[in-house]
Amino acid sequence: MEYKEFEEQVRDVLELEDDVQLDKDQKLVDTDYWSSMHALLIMAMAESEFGVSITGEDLRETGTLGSLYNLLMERKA
Amino acid sequence: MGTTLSHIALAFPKKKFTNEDFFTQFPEEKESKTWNKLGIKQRHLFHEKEVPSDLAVEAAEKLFSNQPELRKEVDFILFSCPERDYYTPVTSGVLQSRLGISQQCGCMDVHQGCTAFVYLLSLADGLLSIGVAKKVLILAVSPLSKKLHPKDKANRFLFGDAATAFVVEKNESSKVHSYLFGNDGSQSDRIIIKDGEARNVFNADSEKAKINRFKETQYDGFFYQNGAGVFRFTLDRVPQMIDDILSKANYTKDDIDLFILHQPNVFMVKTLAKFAKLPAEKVIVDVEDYGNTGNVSIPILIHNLKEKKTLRKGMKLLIAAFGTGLSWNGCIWEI
Repeated sequence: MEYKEFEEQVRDVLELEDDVQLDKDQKLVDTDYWSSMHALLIMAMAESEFGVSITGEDLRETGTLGSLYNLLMERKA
Repeated sequence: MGTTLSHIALAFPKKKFTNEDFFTQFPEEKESKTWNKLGIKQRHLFHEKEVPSDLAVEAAEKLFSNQPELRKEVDFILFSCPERDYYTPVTSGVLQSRLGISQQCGCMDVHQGCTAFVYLLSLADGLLSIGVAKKVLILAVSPLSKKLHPKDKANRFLFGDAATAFVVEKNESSKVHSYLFGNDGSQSDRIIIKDGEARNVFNADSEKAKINRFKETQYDGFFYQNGAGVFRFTLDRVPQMIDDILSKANYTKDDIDLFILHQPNVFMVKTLAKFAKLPAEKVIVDVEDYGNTGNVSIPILIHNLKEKKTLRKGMKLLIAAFGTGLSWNGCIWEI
């Protein structure tokens, strides 16, 4: 899966408005849209869309959307 | 001879806390879409000085007003609530007298959280099977809102208070079986109130915000839940437990009429159902008017299903709970 497609999925899962910018290198917790509920939505998405189990700690350590994408691709492989 | 849950009643604190009240308190949350996913519209909350066991008495009196003979027949009381009346004696013992129940009655307090229902049911089942009791009165109260920090938005949205009273007794055709219990104490700090008991007394720092090992804000004298960690634990443990219970009973998912899961919120129950590959139409969700009521969530489901006459003789219910401990348990109730 290309990064762009992944970003679209994240946008869908988090129900972000079109005017919300997703920055590959920005820390998720520092964005205006992020909440603790979003962590659960991303964890569920990782499992259902990628078949990859991630933890809250994984999310914290990866930090940005770009590194989360890399982690999912790595584990999927 | 098997066991059944024969009569059940609920009671709620008078004070209600609606989503409108929530958004008035936290106006910055109004635009967020995430709260809707939780499927909760209101909760009932104890006032600070209300005593949880009083709500258990209210639920029991409701039960007795519908079935007056029960008051004389109950010969064992199990009481489950994180808040007791006194350090000693046990609250169940105090309630025996308050409820006018015979002195020929065993009384036991059971300290558990969201997994209390299956613990209580199995204890009652055991007491019936060894012949020391014929009718076990179970009283459970969840007063968690009293332990939520005023700034703890997520948990103030999620949790509501409630009480239940129900009777477990012997029955010719009904049975409960394939119990399964688990606990992972290494994750005990994922759902915890750290201060206020023997390990750490409530102190000057208990109300101060700290950053914990999950890099989240925690007030040690108040309820804390590591949402992502508990979510991971639930997805890892509960689907497997459901499969294990089915295999213990030699049943498949098709044999089960309804899956009765602990009810933290709509998102959690639906995600769990999806990951456990449960047929959506067999998974009941009932949190809209109550929020997460901890040890009372499964009794609320059963009560409301009974009221709607959804439960019929011969049905098979798979019950599965998960929560603080971290713990998980379940069983099958054939009505």
